[in-house]
Amino acid sequence: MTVSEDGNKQIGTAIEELVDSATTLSEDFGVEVEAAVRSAREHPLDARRARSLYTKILTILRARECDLSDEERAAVAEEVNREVEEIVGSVERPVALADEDFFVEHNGLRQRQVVPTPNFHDKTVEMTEGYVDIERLKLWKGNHRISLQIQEFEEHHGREPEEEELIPLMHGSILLPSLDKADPFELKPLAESIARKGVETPPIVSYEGEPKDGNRRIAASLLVVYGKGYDSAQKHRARYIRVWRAPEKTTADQFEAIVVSRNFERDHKKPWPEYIKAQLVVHEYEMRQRAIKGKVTRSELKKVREEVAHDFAIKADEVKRYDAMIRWSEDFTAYHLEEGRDPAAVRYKTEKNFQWFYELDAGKGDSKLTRKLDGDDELKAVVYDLMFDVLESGTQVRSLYQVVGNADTAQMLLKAHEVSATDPDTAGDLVDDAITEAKRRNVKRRSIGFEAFLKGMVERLGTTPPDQWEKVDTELLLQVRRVATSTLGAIEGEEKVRTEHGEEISS
Amino acid sequence: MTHKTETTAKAQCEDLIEEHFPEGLIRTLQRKFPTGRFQDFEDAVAEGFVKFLAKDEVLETPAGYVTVVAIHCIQRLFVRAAKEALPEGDPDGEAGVEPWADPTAEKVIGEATFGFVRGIVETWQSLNVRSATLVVLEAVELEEPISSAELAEELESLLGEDVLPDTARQWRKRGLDRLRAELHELDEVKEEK
Repeated sequence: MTVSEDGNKQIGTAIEELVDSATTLSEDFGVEVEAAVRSAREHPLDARRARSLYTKILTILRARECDLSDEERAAVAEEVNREVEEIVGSVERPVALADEDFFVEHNGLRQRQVVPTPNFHDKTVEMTEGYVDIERLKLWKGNHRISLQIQEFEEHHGREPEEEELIPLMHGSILLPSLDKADPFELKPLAESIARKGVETPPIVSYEGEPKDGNRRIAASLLVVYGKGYDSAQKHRARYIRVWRAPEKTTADQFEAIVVSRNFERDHKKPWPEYIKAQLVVHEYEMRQRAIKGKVTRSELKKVREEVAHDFAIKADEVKRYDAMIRWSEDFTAYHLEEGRDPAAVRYKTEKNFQWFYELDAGKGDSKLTRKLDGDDELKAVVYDLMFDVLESGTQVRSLYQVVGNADTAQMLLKAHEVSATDPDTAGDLVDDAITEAKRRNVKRRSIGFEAFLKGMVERLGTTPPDQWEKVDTELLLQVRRVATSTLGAIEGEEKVRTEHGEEISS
Repeated sequence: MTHKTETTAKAQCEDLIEEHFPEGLIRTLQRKFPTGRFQDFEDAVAEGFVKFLAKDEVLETPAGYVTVVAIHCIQRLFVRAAKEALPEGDPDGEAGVEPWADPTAEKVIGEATFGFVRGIVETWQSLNVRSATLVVLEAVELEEPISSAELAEELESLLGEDVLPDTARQWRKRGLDRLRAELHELDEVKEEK
């Protein structure tokens, strides 16, 4: 954009603002003034807010005489406080916000009665639902989920955590000795989900706005609202959440029923099979790829994956994973149909064991079974037949790459394939033996690798000057200490075992 | 219609407080701007009192004056918030550019805007509508509310004839509608508000 274009754009905005201001400033707002006068009588604010408001206005009014000495200023403050208390105490005020003040109109939803009346563990509780500004909610110290942390906080600090300390406590930014995780309540994945689609299950709050169910959802929403890496639309989505508000006279028994119902009773909702989800995602992914004219570049593919992931509320990596799984499942189906198997049986097998097509991709680089299957039709026939007739778990499928990676165990697999049609039980035993042997050999290989790593570590740490530790991040230092302590324990244990077996170890 | 007596303006503020008008106004703002925050409403009401005291004049409808300033204050806040949110969705990829970051440029643009809009209004044939709109624009330039009664009073002295507040309100409305329509033709503002 050139400078003059930029200037024109700003002038355009300024003109719009000017006309808006002209309309507002020359309007009488008679209706609003009348409403305000009426509301002043009929709907006073709660004491906390009234106190805050009048303190602000009276301070403006009383402290206008500019250059006040400290004593005069203190006297004014005292006078303001006295007057504020007089005004606040002059009318009966609501203890908590009425529904119309508690809720905000959002997404076209005004507060309304929840119908049918919700039933929690055989107790019906009438609820009002609507959107609230997340900042209006406070976390509930009595929540069982955080009771351990609260207890530990009390032991550590000799006091209960303040209300404003509950959020950092849940976010993991207040460190407690027993919590070695940065995100003890695993709020970050939930925050990601809330940023994408908002809070789906409404938390249940008391009339005073204390959440009886949904502390974690609220804490995760606050993580989005105040956290880094979220755009304004995501923050807005997390700021206004739908809640169910209990009536003023809800009893402790009713709240207990709510907690039990929300945390112990299963909702019997059956999630879609992964196969169905993967098909939908991959279908969409393919459609969008086809919509791109010409050769599809890597960055375009990545962009398409991100868009599809966004629309299905999953991660871009999952799109890639589903794509590979569908490709292998189709290949598996095609192979067995060509072999003349019953189409229904093939379909059933593919759907039931869909996760196996993810396990098929285990391993690294060229050791991956999928790499080998791509160029070896005979191996493919062996693996696919065993998957159909013999294998029983995804763990077995995951181990196959180690089996085919070794000539001896690969032979065992071929033997299993030979007998699979006539004696599937023996074939199953042979596969298990092949997997066990392949793992044993793999551990031996890993052990050699581990020794090389230890030699490198000894050399590196042995030559590290003391001042190099000064630059290491505190968090990392703590992690190193934790790992080093457990490593020393393992070494001492091993020394003891070896000494007991007659080995002489000099320190 | 206004008298310059500081103590009485202050006394009018005291009266409003005694009638609990500030909290009634908060309630009204909450209804009018349901997604706004309490702290912003509180600041807007306080701004109404600050301006009223700074104006130093006894007003016929002090509650109206404070209300207009508060509403205007909230509207501006919303516009500012919308503008701050804009760079993220800026199709031109100008993310991070704050268009109002330069006060000097803002002043220049403000003056250019007033000059441009005033230039349009001054070409109008109807003396009454033209005068009413120019008075309103002057009030906007001073960021001061102007009630229909005050507008009528100003117009009486300008035109040398009696003007009723209702008549002034009509002229003002016709003027602002016409201004919107003309600016829309020039592609400067949205047609409907």
